[in-house]
Amino acid sequence: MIKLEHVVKAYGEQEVLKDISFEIAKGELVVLIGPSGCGKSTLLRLINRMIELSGGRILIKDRDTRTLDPVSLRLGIGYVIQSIGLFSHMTIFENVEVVPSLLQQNKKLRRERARELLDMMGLEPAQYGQRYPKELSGGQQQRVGIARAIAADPEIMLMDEPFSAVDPITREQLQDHFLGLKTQIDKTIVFVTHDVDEAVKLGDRICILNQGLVQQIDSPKALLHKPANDFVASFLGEDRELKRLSRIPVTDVMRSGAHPEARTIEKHKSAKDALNRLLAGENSLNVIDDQNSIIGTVNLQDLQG
Amino acid sequence: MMTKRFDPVLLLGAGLGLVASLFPLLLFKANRLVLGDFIGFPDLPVPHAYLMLLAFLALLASAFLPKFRLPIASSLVVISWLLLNWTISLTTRQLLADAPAIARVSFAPGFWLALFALYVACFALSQRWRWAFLLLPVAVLLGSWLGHYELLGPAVEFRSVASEFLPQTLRHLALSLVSLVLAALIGLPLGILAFRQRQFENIILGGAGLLQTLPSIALFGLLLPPLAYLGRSFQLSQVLIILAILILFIGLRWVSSLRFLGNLAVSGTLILALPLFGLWLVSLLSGESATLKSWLNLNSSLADIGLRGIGAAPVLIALTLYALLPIVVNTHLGLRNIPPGTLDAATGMGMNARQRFWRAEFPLALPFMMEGLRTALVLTFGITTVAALVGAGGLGFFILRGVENAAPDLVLLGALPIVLLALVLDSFMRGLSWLLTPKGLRS
Repeated sequence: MIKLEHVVKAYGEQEVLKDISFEIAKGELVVLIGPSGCGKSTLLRLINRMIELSGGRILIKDRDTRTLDPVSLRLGIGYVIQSIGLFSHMTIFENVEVVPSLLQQNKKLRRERARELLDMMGLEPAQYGQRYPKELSGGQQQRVGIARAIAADPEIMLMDEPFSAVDPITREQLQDHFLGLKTQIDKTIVFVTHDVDEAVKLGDRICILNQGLVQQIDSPKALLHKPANDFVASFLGEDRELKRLSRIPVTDVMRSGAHPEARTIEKHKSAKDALNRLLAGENSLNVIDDQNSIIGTVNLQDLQG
Repeated sequence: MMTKRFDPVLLLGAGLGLVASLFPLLLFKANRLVLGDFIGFPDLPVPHAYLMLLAFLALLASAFLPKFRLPIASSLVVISWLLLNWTISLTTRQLLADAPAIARVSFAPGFWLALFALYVACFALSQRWRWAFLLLPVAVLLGSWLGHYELLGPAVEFRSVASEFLPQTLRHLALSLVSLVLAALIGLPLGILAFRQRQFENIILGGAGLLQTLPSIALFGLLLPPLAYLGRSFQLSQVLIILAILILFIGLRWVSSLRFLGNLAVSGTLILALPLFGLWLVSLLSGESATLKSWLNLNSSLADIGLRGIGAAPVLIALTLYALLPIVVNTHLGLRNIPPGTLDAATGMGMNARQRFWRAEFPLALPFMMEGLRTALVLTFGITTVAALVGAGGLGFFILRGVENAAPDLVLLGALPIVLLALVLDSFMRGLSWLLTPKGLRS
């Protein structure tokens, strides 16, 4: 879907990005992460030509972005930023309908679509649609920001630290909501963050950038289990095995069978939740499904995979 | 919250009113040359003067009434004013009874202090009741309806120049409004340019600031010879032909290699057309039928349509230049004030430059632009007073004549309407700005 070939971006003498190449498949969510100044936001903004390339090329659906008109390129790409950037003079409905109105879609249809999207983002349209951005909390505003980005149903979404400006609890809610949404909307998403936990939680693959180069790009599990170099290892943190376990459902590590005296854990919990319980003094845990019947068992040895 | 036992501001207002009664309220002059006699409390007719004092005392006492303060104090403000007026009008009648027709009675410091005292009282009351600021205008209107001011100096002067008053007021309004329109047509684009092109930012903002420092009288003097020359030497037909040629050349903008020439033609057209438009609008608004007729005759010289060394032309130029600063600065500020994230989102979502301007930048900066226009209007309305110096008329005409004839009442006749109309225009612009501010931006 998106193909980066030897991408270079330089400001004067200084090369912010040196020779970046990778590919993003359709429907995939790739997280760009790295220390500040690593060029992750720059890379994101090169994709919709908010910034122009210094070298190499970027292909979207096999077409070189430099041959496309930047405005129509951006119309086909959802864009969410940390500062949200809602239009404070427009109602929530009008904000969500910006791109459809730029595309001159039918008024009635786009209002219907806006209702649907607000609903999908967990905002009651009848209650919020006619309000103005300043009347909403930061978390609610970012929900509108996401609804606005997908209003015209773009195939690609670029998200630049969308959840960084809100408090930790709201952030977690937004992430959970977004994960649910992701399965419904089937978009190719490039997501910039500086938060390793967020990257592990949301990413299908994570691309770690440092000093203008890709240090490693892989699935969260592989990345956490086998960091390619010292930088990646220290960037992901000493607790990377714990982070890895947080991405693995407990059903992936359980053995069949049941332990006669063990307490139970629900099947949608992560391996990290199980570890927590086991460390708290349980010898083993029985995994149960929604009907409370035991489907397997897990102990500390099972977690050392 | 503990309720205060008395209202200190109301107390101050009422106290000032009492002090004012000790000062002379009126000035009696048998003719324009004598210095005149001040008329104070001992000379006032007996029951009315004491009633007036009593009203101010009651107002003072009402400051200590927490419960019924608002209705009682509000009525006392109006009553005090009416008693003051009644006293003044009776005194004036007595003074003028056996004086020559040229004798004048005008306001003295005590009167102005009493007016200020009641203003302070109204201000105190408006903290509780937002319409309290209307009490004073209502009281003044009531006083004029009761005929309290008929014999006073400014009223007498008004009757002697009544036929000129309305035309000069219209003229004053026309000059300042037309320069506001011209300044807006030039200033809004300049403010936008200063925001978009960083290299012009300092030149434009600095230039607009520099224009403010030019003394208006000097400007009139400097403009006189070139304007007089232009007016005498060119005919309307010649200018219209040049204008038509320039407009044809605008077409070059769409030829990519000659774009610069096209833009030059646009600037030329504006430089030529804006002053002509301004002159025409002033004649139209101030109802100068002779000048308006000259527009229909192609053989008219530019002087015939108003481009002369004196008159409307230099005034329009000066006022337009002065009005530029608030308009340019506020436009620039309004655009600079838009959160960068909003504009980033606008571009990132796929707006082109024009869409971004009309859908985001313009509505978001509009409240600031309106603020600039409001400031500019109040500013030009005040400065238009000097228009009378170069024979362009306006309310400054009365002020100038008053100064020449040592007739302060005539000066007041020009000055009071300027102050009042400026306040009215100011509120009008505030209201308009509120209406035009998008709902989501109102605080």
